[in-house]
Amino acid sequence: MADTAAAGQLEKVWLASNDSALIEVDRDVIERSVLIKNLLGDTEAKSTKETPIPIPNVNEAVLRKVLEWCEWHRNDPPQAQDEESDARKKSTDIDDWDQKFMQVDQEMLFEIILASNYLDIKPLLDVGCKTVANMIKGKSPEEIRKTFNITNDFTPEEEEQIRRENEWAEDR
Amino acid sequence: MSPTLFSCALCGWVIGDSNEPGSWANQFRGIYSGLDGIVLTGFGNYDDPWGGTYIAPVDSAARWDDAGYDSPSEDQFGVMRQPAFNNRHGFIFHDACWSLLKRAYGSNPIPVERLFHVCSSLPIPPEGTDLGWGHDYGGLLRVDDEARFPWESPVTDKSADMAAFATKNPYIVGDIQRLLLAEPQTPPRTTSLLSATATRDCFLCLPPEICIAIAGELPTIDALNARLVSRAFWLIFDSQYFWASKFRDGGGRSWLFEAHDGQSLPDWRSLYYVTKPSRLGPALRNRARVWNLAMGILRMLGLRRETSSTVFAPMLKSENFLSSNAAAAIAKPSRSLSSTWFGEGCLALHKEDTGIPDRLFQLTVFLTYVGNVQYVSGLRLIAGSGKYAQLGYESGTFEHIRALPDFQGFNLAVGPRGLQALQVCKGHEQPSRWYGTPDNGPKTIQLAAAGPVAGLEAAFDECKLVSLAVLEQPPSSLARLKERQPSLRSSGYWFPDVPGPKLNLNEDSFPQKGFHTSGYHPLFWTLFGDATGARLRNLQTISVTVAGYVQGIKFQYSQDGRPEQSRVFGRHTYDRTPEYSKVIVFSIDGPGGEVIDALEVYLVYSDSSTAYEFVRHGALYCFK
Repeated sequence: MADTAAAGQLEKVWLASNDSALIEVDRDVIERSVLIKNLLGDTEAKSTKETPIPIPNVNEAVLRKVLEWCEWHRNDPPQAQDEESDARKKSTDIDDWDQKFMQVDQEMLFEIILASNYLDIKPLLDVGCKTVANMIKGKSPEEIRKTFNITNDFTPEEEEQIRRENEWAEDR
Repeated sequence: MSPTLFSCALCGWVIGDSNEPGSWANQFRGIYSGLDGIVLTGFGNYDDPWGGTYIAPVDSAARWDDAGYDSPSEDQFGVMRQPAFNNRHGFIFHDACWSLLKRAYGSNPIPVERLFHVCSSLPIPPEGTDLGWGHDYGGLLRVDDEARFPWESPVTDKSADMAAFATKNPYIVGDIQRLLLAEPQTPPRTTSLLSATATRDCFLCLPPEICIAIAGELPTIDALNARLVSRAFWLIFDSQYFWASKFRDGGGRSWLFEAHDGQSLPDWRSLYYVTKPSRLGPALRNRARVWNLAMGILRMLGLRRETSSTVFAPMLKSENFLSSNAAAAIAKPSRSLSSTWFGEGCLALHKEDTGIPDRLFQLTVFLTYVGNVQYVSGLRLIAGSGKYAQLGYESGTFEHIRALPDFQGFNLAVGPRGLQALQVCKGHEQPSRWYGTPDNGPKTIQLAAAGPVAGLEAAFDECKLVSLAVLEQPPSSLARLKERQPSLRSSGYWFPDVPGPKLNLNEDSFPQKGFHTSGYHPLFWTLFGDATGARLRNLQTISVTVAGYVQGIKFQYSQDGRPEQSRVFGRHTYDRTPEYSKVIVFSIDGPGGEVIDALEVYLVYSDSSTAYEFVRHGALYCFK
């Protein structure tokens, strides 16, 4: 019978967020982070409550959210190289659970993206980028501004230049 | 006698339609099964469609025009619907298309054996020249979806527009070197650098590489629109990484693989500019079409069977368990003349089963595209202990389902070629949402068990799940057992959905009940009066299309003199060819209170071996 976890399945790891929260997590869960996986692989010492791994760029709320994603995806089959190049996969292809997971306020969404980038969790970074891409897709510039609450401070000259460049590059 | 022409299994265009000696359109590679196993042939040349003989050297490096090679008959093999020759039978590819497929595989060899098995698991429509992947060969086939239900063989025709491109060699395209060597195109630019301070812009907190990654997920038009919103996206215009991503897999321009071959990297933005669709000639358009088809095959060949997975417990195949089975239209290929092919449906080639663990923690549903349709390729059951069993194929697209303590089977959407989507049934709760793409598949609830499920048995072809059975404990009471008796509602395959329990199906007066509760014979239905009969008051016309049998019924409504949307029952649009059909129109005064209070139905039966199967079970001849 196949087994989804290695022998050290129940080994625990302690993390410290940048606002000093201590979080205990299964090792195979946090090893979705390549940064932490390499760190754990490189050192003999074990992370304990007394000597947690510091995560200096991520606060507790965001770290817990990231760990929630890692927990859900702990049994994911490893992605083969050819699947990353799946021509049919478009930015809208986010599975239902991930879509719900990403239904957070925009500040949290951007924090998750930054945290996954820092922790080197590529599949989560991909989901974050795709989520933002989907929020942009098919919208006019004015609608995108509204979606992300961005103030238009382009000068007329800047706007004109961007328009001219865009027209040149558009697929038509 | 007519010429024998079959299409390239990749591009869909026929092999052998050129009168030009040595034309690319006549040169082919074959993959066939013979006494020595699966073989990739050398290069053949098919320039005599009237002869109908496909001959290619057995040595994959040899060519038909090699000195001393005289295309001996012992190198002949049967193709597609042909019988086997020399105990060999298989499929053919344009040499140019095979080269493209090879390119798509990069440094890895094409898995010829797997490709052969995948091709063999596809139907070959009895009419036409193509292998039935389930796609339109990149627009080469014009498919009339409106004229048939999704489970019926589609009406197809070659698109005249695409046919003009399909005759062009997709591999060797002279234009490509011209594009790659063209002078870089310079965009209009009035100032060299833009700078300003944004007052409020969330994208400015992201590192540039993440903005480029987000832009890379977008169609170019949307990425360019983002530049009109945020300074964070300005840089993509000058990012060679961004423009180069358009030429990688999934970027839309990966068909121009020669761009990656040179020693010096091209100006990707300029290359993007000169490869706009409006600037492409027919050969490049054919390149793009065939390349995209090759990428689809790549995905299918990459599906993985789990070899280390076994089962949770031996399946208890005893009389103590009830088994319910739902299946696509499983074909029985003709094995006459030593070749096996089938015209529609699918094959059940592999069977796997497993018990259900006591603590089922997670069910993972793997999904894959075959042609243009998404199917369930496999299932993985994970126990609370972390151990798992897998049925079928693992793919890169999957969804997890958790919270399964009361797992009681599935509702399924089943197409003629496989299972397209599933819902998980959980005790007294509502079924889960659909996993997969259920829209065009008839639905069945026959795997919704009355109690805990003890085991699953699944059958697969080379890519997808084609049947699924659940094993359950028999109900404890006689009443529950009676509930399990097959009925049209519980055992049929319904389109667009299974009718709800409040709808009286009047099953006893449905003469084809036995036909529709056994095997894959979908039923379709419509509520022409709506659930409470509210629309009957607006019904004004019933028109019936007849072509031998009743082909379709159209209900037309109007309210306050204004026509409302009509409702159509049946999809055979014979009214497009009036010489074969007639339309009979009945007026009905719904607003005046006229109602249908009885219906007499006349069926016609035929036991002729040439009759359609549905006629053997009774076809609607007329009604009054």
